[in-house]
Amino acid sequence: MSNSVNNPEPDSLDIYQRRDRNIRESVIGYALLFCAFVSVLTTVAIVYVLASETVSFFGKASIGEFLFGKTLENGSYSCSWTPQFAEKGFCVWPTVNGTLMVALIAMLVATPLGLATAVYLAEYASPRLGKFLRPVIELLAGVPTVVYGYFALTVVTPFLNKIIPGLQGFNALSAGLIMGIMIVPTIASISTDAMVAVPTSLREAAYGLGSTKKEVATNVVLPAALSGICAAIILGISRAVGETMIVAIAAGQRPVLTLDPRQTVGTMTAYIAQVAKGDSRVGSVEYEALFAVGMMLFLITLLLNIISKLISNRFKETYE
Amino acid sequence: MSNGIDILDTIDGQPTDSRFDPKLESRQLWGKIFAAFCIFATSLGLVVLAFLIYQVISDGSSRLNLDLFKLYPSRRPLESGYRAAILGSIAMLSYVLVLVIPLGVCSAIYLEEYAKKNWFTDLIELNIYNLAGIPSIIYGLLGLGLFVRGIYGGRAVIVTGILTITLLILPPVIVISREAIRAVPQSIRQASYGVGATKWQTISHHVLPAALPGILTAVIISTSRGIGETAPIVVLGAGTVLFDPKASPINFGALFSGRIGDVFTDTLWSNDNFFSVLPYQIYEWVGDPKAEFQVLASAGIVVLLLLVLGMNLIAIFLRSRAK
Repeated sequence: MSNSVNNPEPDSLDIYQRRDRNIRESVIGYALLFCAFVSVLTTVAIVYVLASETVSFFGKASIGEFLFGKTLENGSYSCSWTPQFAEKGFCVWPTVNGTLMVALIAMLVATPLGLATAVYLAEYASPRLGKFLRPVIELLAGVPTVVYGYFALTVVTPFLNKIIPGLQGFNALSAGLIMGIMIVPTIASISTDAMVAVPTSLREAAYGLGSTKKEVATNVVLPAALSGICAAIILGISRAVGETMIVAIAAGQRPVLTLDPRQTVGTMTAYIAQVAKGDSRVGSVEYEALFAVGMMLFLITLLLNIISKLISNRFKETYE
Repeated sequence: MSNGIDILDTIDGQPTDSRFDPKLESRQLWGKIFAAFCIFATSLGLVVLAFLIYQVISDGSSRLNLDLFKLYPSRRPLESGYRAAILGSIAMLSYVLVLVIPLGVCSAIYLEEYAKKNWFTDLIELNIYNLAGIPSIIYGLLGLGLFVRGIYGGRAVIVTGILTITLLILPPVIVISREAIRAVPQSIRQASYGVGATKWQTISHHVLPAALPGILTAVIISTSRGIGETAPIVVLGAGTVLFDPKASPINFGALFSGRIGDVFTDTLWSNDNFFSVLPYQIYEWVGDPKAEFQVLASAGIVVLLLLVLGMNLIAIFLRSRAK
């Protein structure tokens, strides 16, 4: 047995083992590749589902009316979004109007609050406090949006009703305010990372010239972290545009062209939720309209995400 | 020397303090105002969260009892509960975990450890980044077109919900798992290769165990988001159900009594396995004009928040242990 080292038998066995091992390794490699490919298939499926229904939607409704409205028989211009009614209107802008107004209100709340939170976490808070506060603030992003919707409808709207005359039961204002709170963690988290990445030497140079802490934060750190901050804000807009439950519950479901935040509005997402909840027959125009609005929403958020990615890649400040 | 002092004292015959005023007091004051605003902003979110929790507990307190877990939905609010919805959420949570852990972790391993730097890898990465930013309601439309209409002929059964939520949370799971895998020091891999381990042995014996807390954090946080999602479930067409979801993948009774043809009847896959989930049922009752249903909605929100925030706290705890 002692000369088994010179015996060719174990050696050839080892070659078989190694071949099995190599086969196993490459099978595993392909299995992993397949898993990663699932996400590519998801994108393909999303585009396919949205595009195929959108195409049949535009077989029934004119793309001209979708984008520009229509002229009625009596000569007046009309732009309304009512595919589910007998009197059908296929002009998408009232829903886009609702979406943009709620998103604008949300960003007016979320941008200053999110940036101030980021400045506090990156510049003012002690590392220990920062380590504790960050996950707690991120909890705000973990609250289900149906809960925010309930809060906007049952707490914020009755409260605002006492201050603002003419506020309707469902309105863009309270939905937007609460959506702003929901988006704060998105903006704060990415902006904090961008600010922490600003080299300490820049801060020290500013302090050396006699700046106060606030001047270092606003005149040195904020501009140096600007690309990350812009990316964060655009990502925030994208989240606001795609948010569904808050607007479906608190902003109402009536798409109108208005700039009055006290009014009931209807966003793109609220329309999708409302019609999908009802029983719309497959192949009916309101069923296909769901996907046309979905396609519009998909394209808008995709564009925003790409811009955000480009900004954070292209304008990344390097201090080497 | 005296010349230099002159320059410091006067410029063009003017005393310097009129040209250079450090305005220290007002700058310090602005500094304090700014710091106060930053503290206000940081605490505002937390105050809102605390007030929200207080509000739902006080609104829903009269319905926070065991009936909530025992009763099915009904036209009469006092005889309604979340039994079907809570069981639906638990079944969905379990199956989503079963699907998303292997898919997400394997994708992350592929991208971090196997993928070569080429256009194909760039495509997958860009694609995952974009998927993570797509609104959840779009995933609902995907599920409606692909799973509800495509597989189940228009029936919004629990399988369609599970698949939709899995696809929805897959991108964030991949992104955060990759960070956890990337954080494992290269020296551990080199030591493993050095003693003759293969790539997969290195990954499964050394990289994955080291990255496990980070991966678990990713999975738990993302799944808690998925469980709280309402919009895609609404779009799929889920409705109020008055029975427990069938959660078993195989009909064991049929299997053991030898009725092989019935192995899949009355199981998870059945096409009458309609489902409801907790956030969906809350949404139904938030919209109901009866005040008692609002109370019921608040009570449901308390349960949902306990579930979701509890999962988040576990994840935060795991992450702090990992560091």
